[in-house]
Amino acid sequence: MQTQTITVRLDKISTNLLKTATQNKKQTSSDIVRKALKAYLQKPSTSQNGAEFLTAMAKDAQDAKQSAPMDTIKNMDDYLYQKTT
Amino acid sequence: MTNIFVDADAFVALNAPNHPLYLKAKTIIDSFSQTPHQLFTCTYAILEAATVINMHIKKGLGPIIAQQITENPHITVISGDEYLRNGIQKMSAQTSKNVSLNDCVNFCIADDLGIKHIFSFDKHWTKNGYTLLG
Repeated sequence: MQTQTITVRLDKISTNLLKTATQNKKQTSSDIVRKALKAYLQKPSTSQNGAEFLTAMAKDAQDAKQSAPMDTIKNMDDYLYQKTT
Repeated sequence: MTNIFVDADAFVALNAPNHPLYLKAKTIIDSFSQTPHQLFTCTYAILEAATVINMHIKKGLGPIIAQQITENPHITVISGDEYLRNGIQKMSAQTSKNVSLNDCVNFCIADDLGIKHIFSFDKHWTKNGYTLLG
């Protein structure tokens, strides 16, 4: 019965399902999540919307004229080091 | 399809238009925008990015960006908790003291999912065998 449930999940896998699976440990074990992710990775996709999402994020920042100190993001590890010392 | 892992510094760069890496980040997006791709990130990368954005770019923006990332259907968020133990092991095997546990958890996610292309400016990725975009 449990195997049948997993098969259905893999057949109907979607990004939202993956998010639910990765975020809800009570419903899904990590092994099932990883299997689902790998199945998802092998699934052909023509999605280009990820880039659109990031582009929109950058445009929002430009429109809002956000600014950061020039040394903030040269190196994330430098930032973390400064933060903790 | 190209699977791309987006690290915290890429999110930060995209939110800082006055920084040189902002333009570089936009160029990187242009380079893969016309080909089928799927974006991935880690919960820990979101924590890191939101914290930096909130502290150094704009107060209140961090949680907004974190919410946008977690709710957007075009970027798959991987739970870092699932990879924490492996990340600890990977960290102990690093020769550089500057590689963070966050980095190592991200390496483990990329390894597990077979992701080779990384949207980041962090040289630790290349030193561990991955390809930075751009």
